Amino acid sequence: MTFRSLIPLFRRQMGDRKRQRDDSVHPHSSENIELSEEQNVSKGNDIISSLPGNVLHHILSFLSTKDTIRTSILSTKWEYLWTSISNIDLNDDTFPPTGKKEDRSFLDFVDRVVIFHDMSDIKSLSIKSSELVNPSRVNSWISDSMRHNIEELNLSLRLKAQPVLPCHLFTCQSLVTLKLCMNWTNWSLKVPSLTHFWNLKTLELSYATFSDDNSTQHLFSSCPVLQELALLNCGWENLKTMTICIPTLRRLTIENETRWTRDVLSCVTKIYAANLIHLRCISSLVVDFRLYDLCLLVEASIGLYNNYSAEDVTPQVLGLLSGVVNVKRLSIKSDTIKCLMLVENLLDHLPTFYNMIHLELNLEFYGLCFGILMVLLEKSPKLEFLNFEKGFDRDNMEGYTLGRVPSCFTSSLKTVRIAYFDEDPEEISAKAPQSIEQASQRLKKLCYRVTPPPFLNEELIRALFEEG
Amino acid sequence: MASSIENNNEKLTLKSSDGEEFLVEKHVALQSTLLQNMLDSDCSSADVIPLPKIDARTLALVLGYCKKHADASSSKQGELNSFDSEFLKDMDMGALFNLVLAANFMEIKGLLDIAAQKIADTIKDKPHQEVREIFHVENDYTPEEEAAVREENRWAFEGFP
Repeated sequence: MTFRSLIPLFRRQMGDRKRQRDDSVHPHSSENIELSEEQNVSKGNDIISSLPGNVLHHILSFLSTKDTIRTSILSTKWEYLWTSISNIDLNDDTFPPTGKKEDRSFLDFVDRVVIFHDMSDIKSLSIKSSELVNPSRVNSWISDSMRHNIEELNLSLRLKAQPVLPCHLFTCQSLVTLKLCMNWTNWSLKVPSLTHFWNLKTLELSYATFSDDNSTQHLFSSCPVLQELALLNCGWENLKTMTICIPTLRRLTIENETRWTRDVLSCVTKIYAANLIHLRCISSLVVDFRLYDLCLLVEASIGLYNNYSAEDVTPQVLGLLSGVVNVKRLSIKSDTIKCLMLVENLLDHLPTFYNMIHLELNLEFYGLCFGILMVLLEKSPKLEFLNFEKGFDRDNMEGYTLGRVPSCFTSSLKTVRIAYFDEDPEEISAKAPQSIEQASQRLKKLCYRVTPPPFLNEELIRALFEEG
Repeated sequence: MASSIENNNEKLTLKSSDGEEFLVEKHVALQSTLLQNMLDSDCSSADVIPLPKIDARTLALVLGYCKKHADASSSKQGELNSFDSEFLKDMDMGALFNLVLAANFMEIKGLLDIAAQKIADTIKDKPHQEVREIFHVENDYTPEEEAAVREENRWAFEGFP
């Protein structure tokens, strides 16, 4: 007998047992909304078990899935109360296999939770497992959850074989959030021609390989109300052009394999998103980003990597930075500064960030970066907050300075924050007040996080702030 | 407590199970969906509305909650949040259950939420033996049945005695 064929049997058994033992509790039957028979709320009585069904379910809704299922052992009345929970979160992090063959695996347990669920809706289903799972089993979870009008589906699984998602998932009307992380060597995402995510607001795909330009564009254009899109570690090698044209989009996250080289792929990505507010883009420069209409952009986080030194990457680097010129907050990660160093006459080519008030250097800052920092500061006339998020590389700072004082230092800059800055604040202001004051009349705060290792000294401060 | 007042649209009278009457301003009463529906469906506000399942002590608490929330609707949320957490602090289980039942009956969502949350917090992360003790739940499983339930739901019991 296959597992699926057991389902009706399970349901029947469970139903009988429920009726027999648990007739006062049904979340959606109207008679239970009324108060049950005279409640005797005095000491020594089992008050909680006699609460009306809807109140009990409401209490359970504030518990984690684990705590809720554990209530099954309180008494027979509680055995199946958990089968109505609307938010199911199953994670095998804390489920060590005992090694005995007859033991139920975590996946069997997931089956049990999904199958035993009563008639009520499942608002969210989240399954995370490191066990290898058959794609057909995943599809039955998806289908079951769709029968319960699933709104949020979040699967993070390791597959035994190539997953082919059920077609009806792609036209699901109840779905608002879909997050799929299907770990299979090469999960080729097949987008059916009939695809329409009516109400999908959040889509997150991890480790999916896009099949071709057309089907990828079709996927994005079939999400008429999408607000958040995340493509994490996806396969782009079949794409020549990726077009993301989503007028409703507010948050876009692209995180790519940073070691990609030209012989793996070469792809132009065109992004049209007039309502985009947050952009996070971590990618190798073999993907050439072209950003259009990002006039509402507030926040951008950029991490660029370059793995081929022969070619001129100026258009790619400048293309991306010019596209985010309207941001208020810019965070620059990892190798981006190295990429900026490859651009000739950066000062002439980089546009001015007139709106930018917050610049974060999310990398360990070293002496050679001063040149690029100077250009960025010159191009940020309204900067108020400069954040060295990962502090300084103290071994490679000596002898470098800013050269001159950028205009924002004397006009708008209010705070410089340096992580891992380990000097006593009193001492700092006693030692180097003048150099800081000279550099920036308006500097109100020098923040630092006092964490190891202690390395920043007065010299470094002077190097950073002193007039050249 | 005041008796019912006729010809006054701004106030109505609620009567607890133990016969005590509470004169309530209409906007305070509207925190309860049950009362709101009754008023909408032409139930005269001059009538005394009986609440046969709610005793005077509980009703006084409920109305205290409603008054605070009705009067503070435009004020800061933070103030209401601290009121809510003070409101249930140190309340014994009996009073808390009476309150959750009253909130459910009178359909006062905010109160139902905080009371249910408070009860859930008591269950959270506790071994079932302790939960049984706190709520006086009688274990009617046989030892074999109990072991079977535990095994079927092994995932949820990981790390619990």
